[in-house]
Amino acid sequence: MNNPFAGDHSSIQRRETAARWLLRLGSYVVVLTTVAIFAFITVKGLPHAVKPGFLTELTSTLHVIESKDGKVFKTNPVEADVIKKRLGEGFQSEKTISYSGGGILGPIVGTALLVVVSVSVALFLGVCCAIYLSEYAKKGKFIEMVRLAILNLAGVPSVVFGLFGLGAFVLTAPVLTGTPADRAIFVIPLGFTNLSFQGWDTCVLSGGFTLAFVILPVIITASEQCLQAVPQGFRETSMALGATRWQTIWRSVLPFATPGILTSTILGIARAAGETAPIMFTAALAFKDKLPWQKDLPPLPADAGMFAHWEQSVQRFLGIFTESVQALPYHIYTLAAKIPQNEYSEQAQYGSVFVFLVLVASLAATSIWLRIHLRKKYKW
Amino acid sequence: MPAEAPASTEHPLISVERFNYAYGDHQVLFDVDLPIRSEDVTAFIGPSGCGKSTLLRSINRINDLVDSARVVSGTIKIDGVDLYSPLVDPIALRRQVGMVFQKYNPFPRSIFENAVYGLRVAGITDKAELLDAAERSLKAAALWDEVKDRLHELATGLSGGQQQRLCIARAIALEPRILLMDEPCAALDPIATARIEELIFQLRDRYTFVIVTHNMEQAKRIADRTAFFYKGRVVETGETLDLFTKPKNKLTEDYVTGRLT
Repeated sequence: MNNPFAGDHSSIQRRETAARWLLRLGSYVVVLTTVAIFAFITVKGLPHAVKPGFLTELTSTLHVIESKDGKVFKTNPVEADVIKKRLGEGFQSEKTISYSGGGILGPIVGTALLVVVSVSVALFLGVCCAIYLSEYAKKGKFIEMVRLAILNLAGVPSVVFGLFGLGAFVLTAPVLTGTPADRAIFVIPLGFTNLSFQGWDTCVLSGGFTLAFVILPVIITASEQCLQAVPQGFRETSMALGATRWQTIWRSVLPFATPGILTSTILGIARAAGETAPIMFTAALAFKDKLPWQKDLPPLPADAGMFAHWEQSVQRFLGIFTESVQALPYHIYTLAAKIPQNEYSEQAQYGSVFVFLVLVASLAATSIWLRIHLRKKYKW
Repeated sequence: MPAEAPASTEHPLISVERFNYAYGDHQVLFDVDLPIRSEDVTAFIGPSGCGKSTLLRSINRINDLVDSARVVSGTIKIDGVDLYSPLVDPIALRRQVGMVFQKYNPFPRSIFENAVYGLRVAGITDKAELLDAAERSLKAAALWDEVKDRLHELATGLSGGQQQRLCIARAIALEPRILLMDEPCAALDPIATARIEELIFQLRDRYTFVIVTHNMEQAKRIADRTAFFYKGRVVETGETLDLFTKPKNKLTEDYVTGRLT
């Protein structure tokens, strides 16, 4: 019998099959690459990351000592001397590998501080800007210009942000000081003190502000979208009930946009935590043997009063903002590019990369979870 | 139809005088003259895009929110005060001229918070006063019995008709003199619509209603006076019964008999 529905194995059909397989293969490559990266990092990094002290100790130089009877000791500089003394004649050789010993508490704390500062600054500026754009500004040339500026900001390479941060925050930003530094660009005397444009040095504050500008475009764009998603009816109703524009924004627009803004902020956190170039010149150190609040201060005389103790505590606390820090991405860069490679530096590297990857991935996951959860909660 | 004798239009509460209104270069209202009597229900009818909503939204100046909207010439006066004079604060105006929108849109907050929103933004924080006002306005909107036990539940959990009555309660909590309603029943089913109409009927002695409606039967049922809009002009104004039964204008006749859309 004649079958009018028989398949037509013409060239059209073959092209259809080819196209489908091309698209399918493309998707497979993406998925496989992601899986490969995670698997590779996990296999190489997990064993090192779970070693005791890796998450809770500061970075130090790794000493590897071999004895004549073939034993290998991996240890820190202090214990290395003890072991050498104990081995005495049995000592064979010693290798030192910079930055590869101890743990990565310093980089974790540094990255956390940088993220907190940058997200606070970026949220404040970004939400202000988004509210203005979405709620106040009238359509026109000025708005077009602001939008163009935001778009361009998003396209600036991150190393340029780093140099901008160096120029603006490290070398120029104003500080209040009684004794302005010689390098100050100019000094405004205020009587009791001086406003000196001498910069903040490399520190958490400089790095945080620089990172804030890196994530600002993301925050502004996302916040504006969240504000626009709040029904226009809420604004009209609120105004029709005698609310001012600010009351309307504060009571009936912002609260309903906040979940979305926070969700996108978490993605901003992941971005800020991952950037290396912007903090290279502004905040990050390859090595530091103290946490930022463990600043060395002159010992107080025995009869020092409460006030002196209190003042030192404040100084230590301010170290959180005014000290330079280690940071995870820069630590990884240092381990990978700044020191000779061997099996020991590799372990520290993969351990750090694994921890870093887990941190960023869990931030992204939190963001997705939050979005789903809050969508359910806030419906109109 | 309301039975009592029509009040005079010589001293209207709201008087629209040679009002021209535009969005940018696009003029939507032309030389509108319209007196609206106190304690009356006035309906605006006409095909879509005829400018009736724009005029309604100009009475509480909520249309100021639209970027390009502007008064070309003419005025709207309430009690002889020009609403578009620089001496008029739109916020103060909107406290006395309430508005209910087409799409019922309570805030996703509690029923109580919705009812007292206008009072809160007016700076009233006294708990007892707010509770009192909420009860009063919810009773006036015939909603109290249905919600008194769940004042602190989300307003968005109410039925559509209840939500719209909450919006009415929210507007009358401020004790306005005038209530503007922009197709208040357009999103409701016939039963909920009937309840809103009943409510308007109960409240018509306390407030001056101006209602935009697409539903001519509704205009016949609730309005004392009706204005017919066509292409940005008021074609005919009159007592509702007269306008529907013996229209003076050919356009009006075509519209009310369904020959003009």
